[in-house]
Amino acid sequence: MLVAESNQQGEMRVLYGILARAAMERFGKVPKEETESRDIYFLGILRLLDMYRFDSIKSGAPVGILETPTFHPDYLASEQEDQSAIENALASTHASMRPNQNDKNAFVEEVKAALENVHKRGAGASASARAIAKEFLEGLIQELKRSK
Amino acid sequence: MLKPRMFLKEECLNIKRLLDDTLRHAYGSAKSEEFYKECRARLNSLSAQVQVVDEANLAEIHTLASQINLLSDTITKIERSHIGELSWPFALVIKEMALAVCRENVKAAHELDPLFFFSANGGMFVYAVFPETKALSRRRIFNVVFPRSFKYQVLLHTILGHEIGHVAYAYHELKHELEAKVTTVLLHGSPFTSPSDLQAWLVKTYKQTLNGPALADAFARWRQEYFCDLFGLLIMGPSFLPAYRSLFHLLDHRGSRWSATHPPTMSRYSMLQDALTILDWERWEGVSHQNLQQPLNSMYEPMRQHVSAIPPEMRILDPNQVKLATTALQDILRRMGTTLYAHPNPDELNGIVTALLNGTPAICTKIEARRGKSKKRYLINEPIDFRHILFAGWLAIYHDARDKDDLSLFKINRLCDRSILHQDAISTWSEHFEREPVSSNVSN
Repeated sequence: MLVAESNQQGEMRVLYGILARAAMERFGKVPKEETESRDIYFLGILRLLDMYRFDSIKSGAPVGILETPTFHPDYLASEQEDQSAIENALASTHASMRPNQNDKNAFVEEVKAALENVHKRGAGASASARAIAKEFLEGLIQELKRSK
Repeated sequence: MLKPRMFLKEECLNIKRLLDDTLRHAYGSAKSEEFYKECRARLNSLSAQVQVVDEANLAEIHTLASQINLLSDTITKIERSHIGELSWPFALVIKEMALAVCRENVKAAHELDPLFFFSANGGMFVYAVFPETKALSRRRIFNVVFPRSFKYQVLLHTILGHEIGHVAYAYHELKHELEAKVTTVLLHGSPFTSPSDLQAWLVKTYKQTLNGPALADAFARWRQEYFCDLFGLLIMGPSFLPAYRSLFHLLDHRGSRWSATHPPTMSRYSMLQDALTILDWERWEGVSHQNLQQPLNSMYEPMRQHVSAIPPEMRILDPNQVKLATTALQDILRRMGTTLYAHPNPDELNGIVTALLNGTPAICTKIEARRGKSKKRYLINEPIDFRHILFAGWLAIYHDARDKDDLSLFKINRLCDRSILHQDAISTWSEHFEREPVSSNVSN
């Protein structure tokens, strides 16, 4: 198996939990500190939101190889369970933050704008952006923990 | 036993040493600095998480270990990538094309552009573009893999057009658009519109029963493969199909082999032939150059005959849907720079084929006539698209006038490789010295 495609039990949901927590911990910090790590934590969450918006979480990783080996059913089941857990965690966070808003696009736009504001301005971000980003990340962390 | 967190801290230091030992130094003709910075950023973010992870949280420790492994694997692969093992003129053009497809964030273009490194592996079927999707990253790093023995076989490298299709699918917004506007249209009315349809078709055709995750996986992969075939054809042009068929015929000579990851090869041949007809690339109506028509016919006629003998159950996709999907994909590709292949002027192609048959690289740079009082002469660069060079290369192979003893497949490939290299050099020169005359002291 390719290292790049390795996927241990529930690994991606744990990774997104780590990313969400790391982003949270950088709310009060000056953006100039550890800029690159900060980019990595926030970009990981922003990309996750795009996957949620475009229903890409469960559709499998892209493959770019002429002759792909067939994956073992246990591996596929584990991977799909992991993907479902991430998607459900995002859907639950969405539902609890905006119970009357079914539009994924609008929800993602709102949360992405808040996260980008906090990412770029750190402690100088607007209070409303900080509140939305914090509520989203806390909700996501809780939901991902619950799925373990 | 070492405590896992302590072990990971130590491994982060090891990777720092590895990184400083390798990517800090020059890497091929590309800039290693960008790779170094990206890997260092990843390492810093992982080290920070290892510092704070709870020793008792084994799931997180395990996940961090996996990400650290992935980073170590990536650095090692980049270190081992040797530009001398593959056709680097081709690698450069394929990189430009892939970048146009997968630029992630237009506002921050370049700053967040993905990074590409090239490597060679043993075996004829190792062509690959691995789109990194699961790593903790700032910029994505893609590995493009060529068969080592095909160093100069640039005519076969057009198969990478298919793999770039997979790269496009790694970008969620683009994937969403491609699924909705192209793949769904392409597969409309086929057994691949829902997992249950696919399941029934597999039982009927292959006596295979897939359920649950395996069915979902096959459904997603098969759909993506059909899309990537069409994508490869539209970005690489007519030379995609002969390369594709040459390789796939060796992989699956009957064309009906069962695979959970790829649809039947025959059905893919059939779809591509329909697309080729729709695009008028197989006959090129209205072009009378015998220098082009004869090899075009010699190249495509056996493929046409083969496809016409494919049984109806393997002619799965409706040609009308192929036409609609082709048009839709062309519209999307038009906004990605010069990604969409455009047919050459027949006279230009005729010139390239003739040059190749004469055993010379295909670039015909002109020097403009003397002008003005100074009588200076200027170089006129009319860049030839590398895909036209490859198309001409395939036509030269099938040309009746080719001296098969003297002008071997290897030599034609080599001439095409050189042509791409020359074109790149001329364009680079032209960019920097466009206003400079070729000679400033010309006598009448």
